[in-house]
Amino acid sequence: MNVLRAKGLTKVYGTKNPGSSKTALNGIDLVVRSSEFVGIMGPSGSGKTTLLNLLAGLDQATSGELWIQDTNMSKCTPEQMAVLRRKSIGFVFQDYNLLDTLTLFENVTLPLALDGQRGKKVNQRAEELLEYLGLRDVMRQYPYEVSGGQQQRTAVARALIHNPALILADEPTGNLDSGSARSLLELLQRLNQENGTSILLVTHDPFSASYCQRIVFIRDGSVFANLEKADSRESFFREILDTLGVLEGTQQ
Amino acid sequence: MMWLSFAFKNSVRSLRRYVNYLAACSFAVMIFYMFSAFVLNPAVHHGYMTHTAQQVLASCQFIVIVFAAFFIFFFHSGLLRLRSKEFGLLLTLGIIPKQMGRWIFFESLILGFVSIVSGMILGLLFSKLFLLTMAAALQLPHVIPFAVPPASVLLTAVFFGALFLCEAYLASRRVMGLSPTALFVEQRSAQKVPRYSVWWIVIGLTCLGAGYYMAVSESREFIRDLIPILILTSAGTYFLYSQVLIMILTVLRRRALSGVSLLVVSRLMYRLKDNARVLTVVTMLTAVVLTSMGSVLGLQQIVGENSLRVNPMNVMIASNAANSTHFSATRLRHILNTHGVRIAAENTSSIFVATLRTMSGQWVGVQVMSLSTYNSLRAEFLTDSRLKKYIPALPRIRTAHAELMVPYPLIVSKRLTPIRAELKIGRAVETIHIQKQSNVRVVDESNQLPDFELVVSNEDYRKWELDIPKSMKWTIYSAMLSHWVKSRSAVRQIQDAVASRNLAVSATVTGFKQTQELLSVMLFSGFFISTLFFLTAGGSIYFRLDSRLEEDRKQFRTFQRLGLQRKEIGRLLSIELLLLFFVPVGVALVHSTVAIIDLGHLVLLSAGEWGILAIVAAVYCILMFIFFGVSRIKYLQRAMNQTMG
Repeated sequence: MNVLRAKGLTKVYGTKNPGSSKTALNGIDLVVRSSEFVGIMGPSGSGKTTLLNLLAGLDQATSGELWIQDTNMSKCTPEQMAVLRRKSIGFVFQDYNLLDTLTLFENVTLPLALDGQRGKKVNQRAEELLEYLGLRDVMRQYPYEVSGGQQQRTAVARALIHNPALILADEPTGNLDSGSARSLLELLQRLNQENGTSILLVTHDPFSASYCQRIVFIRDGSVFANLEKADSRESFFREILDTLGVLEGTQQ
Repeated sequence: MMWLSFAFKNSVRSLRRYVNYLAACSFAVMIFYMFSAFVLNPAVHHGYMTHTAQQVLASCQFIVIVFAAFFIFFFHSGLLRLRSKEFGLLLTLGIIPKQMGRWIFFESLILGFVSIVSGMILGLLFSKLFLLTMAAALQLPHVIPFAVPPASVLLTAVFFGALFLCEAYLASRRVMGLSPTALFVEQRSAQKVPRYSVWWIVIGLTCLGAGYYMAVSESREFIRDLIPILILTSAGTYFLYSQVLIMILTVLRRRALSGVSLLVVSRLMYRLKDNARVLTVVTMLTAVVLTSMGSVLGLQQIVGENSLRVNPMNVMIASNAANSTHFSATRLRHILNTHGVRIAAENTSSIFVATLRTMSGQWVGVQVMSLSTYNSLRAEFLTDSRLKKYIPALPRIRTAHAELMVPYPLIVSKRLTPIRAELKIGRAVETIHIQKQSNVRVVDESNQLPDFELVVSNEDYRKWELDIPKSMKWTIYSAMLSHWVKSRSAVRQIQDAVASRNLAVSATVTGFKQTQELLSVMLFSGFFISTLFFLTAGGSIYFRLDSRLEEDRKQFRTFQRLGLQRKEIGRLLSIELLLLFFVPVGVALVHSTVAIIDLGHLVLLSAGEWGILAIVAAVYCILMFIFFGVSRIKYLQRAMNQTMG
């Protein structure tokens, strides 16, 4: 089953003024199947961020179709889009984006609170999740009182709390040191393998990408290549480097 | 955790950011309540204060409410802009805009409610102090009893309740219009290069010039001209910031500038263009503060002198010759003595009333007096040195000649009569030659005597005096006191003593006290409103700075990578903020100077108030400098903190 299906996704900025319009995405086709861990890679300016914003329903595509599970995003009102985001999508950002005014525990339960859920079940679920992520001891603390790695794990917990169909992670290791980055990537991998969580990871870092099962390379707003993990992570890492070499070599 | 309880927690914990806002709102509510409680205080309402002073207070109340509205709207929208990232995150996580709108609506209402309650409590606490200060300012004989007029409480609650309701509605509309991309819009759309256009510069300078010209040129239509002058000057000021200064900076940039000055000039262009509207508001607020405080304080300085010019005789009692009752000078001396007021000089003069034909052919009443009477009155007046420059020495007057005195402040430059004027004495009409017309009052203002004086030769006076009916002859007793300012109670007693008789009584101190009371009220309310304006002026600049903090962080990081030291960035920021804070003050000072010239036409001020304006401006600058200092230190700290990390 597909969690996400995009067909001919195109985004043009400045359409009102044809002289200065800029095509950020040019007919992207993309499928994320259930329980898949997919990476999106590309040099800066390739359209990664634009793609992610479209997939998250934060921006409207100029043309093309986008389905999240059974919902056609291009036909949603902003309100329906909001409901879809809080029920079906979990977000992990580069700069964590936790609310400083709430404890880690409260940050994690926020998506459920927005959905009007409360009670013992919610608390229990949050506690289990925090326990699983090794944050039980610090869950009553505030974001600025814990390390970057802990903050990012809290963000992962927040992304997971409502059992979303898909997790969108945008450079989640960008602000972490290498140790925390590795453990976060292992966590994502474990979530994917043990719980069957579908994850879409956007990154420009080959090491992060090597944790995925499949990589979609984009360049100049179009899909440039697809790469499947066949063997070990280490050999996949080398393949990614090779592809990046081609991608950047052909640029010149 | 339920959604609303989350919202509540979030609001409560971000309270730190709202402390200033709450304090400012409470302050506005407090001032409004205190004004209203004072005006509606039963004791004040039924006396103690002149009608004009009450009107001044009521209009100040109006200014406070209009201003509070502006202030609250501006302040809150600035705070909401600072939170746009938080709103963006919530929208990304799937909050429905309507949900967020409701949350912000209630949050704003609660903030408003807290402000109203705390403002009123503060108002109650400070009311007593306010009453005492007011009583002192007005030099009231009694203490005003403390009271909580229910109407004031109601008025404050209703006015501010409505205000906060509107504000909450607008704030909620505002956040509902946000899109989740607000989270990522740190990389705000690149700013356009500030440009100027020669046309706008011409229009702006024309506006300023026209406004100034209208103000400086003498016109009797002060109130009618006020609005166009304000509009022209505001528009001119706006173009000054958004066009003229941009042009100057552009020209400066063409020259090779050294490191930091290049950065200052180029950054300042963006700052000015960005903040032209706020800077205009700040300039106008500052100009209002400087002008009003400067002129009220200036007026207060010369109120003694002005009272003397209106009523040069410290005590005057005029009795008509047809009136059988006579006032005894001995009795008056006795009253003054018992109040410890010493007479410096006194005179009993006789005058008669006649009519004079003016330029327009109308007949107006004049008091006719002989030259020797004038001279002995002048000698009496000169015991107060302040009068020296106002009471002229007259040359010899030949028969059929006269000197005309048209008193301040009725007519200044125009001649009242032709040079050869007709004077009707009783039934006879004489033609006299007016040697000169001066702007002087010799006999105190009184509703029983005409305002104009005609000084004639002693021979003419003696001749004419013989033929007129008794009812037109007056005897005027006048006295100069050594400390007339302290003669109020004595004057009251004199007034009581002569109340039953058909006499005209006047005293310098009466007009002086009335004017002083009015000025005190104006000064006192002006002080509060000025504080409010000042806080807004400084606060708005600070807020505008805040909204660019993120960009500056990035820019400063780049500067550091380029090898700029923290000290140099600090200097850059100092120059920039100094200009942003003080250019408006400078422009406002020019506006105020022109405004005071304009006001001078209205109240015929003499030059004494420029020193006062300088003092007011200096105090304002010192306070603004504190604002600048705090902003500069805090801003650099906040902008650099993350640069290091």
